[in-house]
Amino acid sequence: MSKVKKIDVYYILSILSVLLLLAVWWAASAVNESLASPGQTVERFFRLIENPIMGKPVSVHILASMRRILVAFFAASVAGVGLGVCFGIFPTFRRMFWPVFSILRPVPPLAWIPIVILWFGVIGDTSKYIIIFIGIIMAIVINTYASISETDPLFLKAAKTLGANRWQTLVHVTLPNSIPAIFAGMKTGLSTGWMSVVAAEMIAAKEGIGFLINMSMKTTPDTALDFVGIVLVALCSSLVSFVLSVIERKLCPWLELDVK
Amino acid sequence: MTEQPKVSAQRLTKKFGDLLVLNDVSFDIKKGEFVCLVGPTGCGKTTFLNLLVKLTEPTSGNVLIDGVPADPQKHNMSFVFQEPSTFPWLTVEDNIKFNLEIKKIEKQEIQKRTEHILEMIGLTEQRNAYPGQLSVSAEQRIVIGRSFAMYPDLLLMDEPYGQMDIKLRYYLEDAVLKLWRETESTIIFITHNIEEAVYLSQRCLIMTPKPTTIKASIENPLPYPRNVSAPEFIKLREQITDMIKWW
Ligand SMILES: Nc1ncnc2c1ncn2[C@@H]1O[C@H](COP(=O)(O)OP(=O)(O)OP(=O)(O)O)[C@@H](O)[C@H]1O
Ligand SMILES: [Mg+2]
Repeated sequence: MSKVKKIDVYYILSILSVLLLLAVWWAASAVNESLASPGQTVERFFRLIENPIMGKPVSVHILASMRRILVAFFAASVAGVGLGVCFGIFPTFRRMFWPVFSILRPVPPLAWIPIVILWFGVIGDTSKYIIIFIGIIMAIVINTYASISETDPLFLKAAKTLGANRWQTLVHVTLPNSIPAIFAGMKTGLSTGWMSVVAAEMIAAKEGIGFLINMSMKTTPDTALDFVGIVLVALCSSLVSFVLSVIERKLCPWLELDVK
Repeated sequence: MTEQPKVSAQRLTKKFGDLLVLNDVSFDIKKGEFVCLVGPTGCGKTTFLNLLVKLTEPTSGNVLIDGVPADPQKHNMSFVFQEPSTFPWLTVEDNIKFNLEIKKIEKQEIQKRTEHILEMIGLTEQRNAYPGQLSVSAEQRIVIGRSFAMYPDLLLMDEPYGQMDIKLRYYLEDAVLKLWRETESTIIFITHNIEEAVYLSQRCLIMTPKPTTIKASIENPLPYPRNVSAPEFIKLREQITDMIKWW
């Protein structure tokens, strides 16, 4: 009973904080003429549906960004977990490549844009996929590696004395134990990923939410269009994160427990 | 020709840095024998089991299973650690099946044994629960079930019943005796509880404080099932207790 009440309170608090954000936005736009208000943003959104920019409906932009993040995310997850596992279980591999990885890791993904565009061109999605991929993979590698190398020795001892070989230990012990940390890495990676999506689209794209945002600066400043882009990114990223947490909950039922 | 011992410690010495833990310890454990290791806290009982299964290496000397160094992938053995070592991401049932599946035992046989074990540890109803939802004692029961499930030739138990209430302990003491009789396994059982040691084992190995040697090896010829209030039982218990009073 009291538990139900608690959940209700949290629910209300979340809604309140969103309302608060809207209120701050609205107040800021009231003070500053050049800033579009929430209302103007909604209105701009409908205008965008009626008058698509360069003949492309909004859905095309949304789907373009979603496709880019999802493809890059999928690739980065597979590669990131693979790399993290290799760092975690092959000492030689770690000694050889960890320094390289450590040097490259702090480089902002956007810094690669010129080189990637030079190599893969502006046209087509390859260069965008690569930038976004770089944005997402780092956190996944780090988290996978960290959680694998910090596996509770008791689990490893148990697996060993139960007769598991290295491969069985990895598949049945180390990896399942690391799933929550891997998901945490994926979530961190996604936020960098969205940053890279928007940036890459602002610089080199004919469609996508980043492209919309870029258009808001093109002629006369159109802050309402910028806000449309911001809200779309926020909604899309929430949707992706939500789906990811549903998957996580499915994969990690043991985390859904009441505390002992 | 004498039969090869199941476990043989030969001049076993273990140091952690400058700390001398096991000091030139030698003893044999026969096939099918039930031995209790009794010794003061910190004397190196857990260390000995770890050496036995190659979780750590001896400083000098040797410890062998069936005359060769231990290899958990080949030897059919299992180890109940002092702290509960369930896998939190597996249900009770899957924890029990863990090494049956690793050892690729036939599906039907796995299911049969799992039912039997769940019944024995009294967790049939909680079979789909996760260890995190259960009490520490239930968790330890899962580990015990998991180690029984493979009908090990060699069963190592490190204070397995420390967390349990008396009733459960008596029950699981009888369970381990039953397993021992049915599978003819060799069992090394560590305990601080002298009564438990006398109730269970055919022989008690009494260890000294660090640097540790074997102070005595006391045979226990009382027939099973033993009666804890029989005079011979009490006499043996007192004898061992006297021997360790100076700890
Ligand atoms: N990995 C290690 N590094 C350093 N010292 C260790 C290590 N493992 C154990 N020791 C030390 O070795 C001694 C024996 O430890 P061990 O755990 O084997 O004792 P024990 O007889 O099992 O004690 P208890 O009855 O409390 O379980 C202790 O003094 C402990 O501090
Ligand atoms: Mg111990």
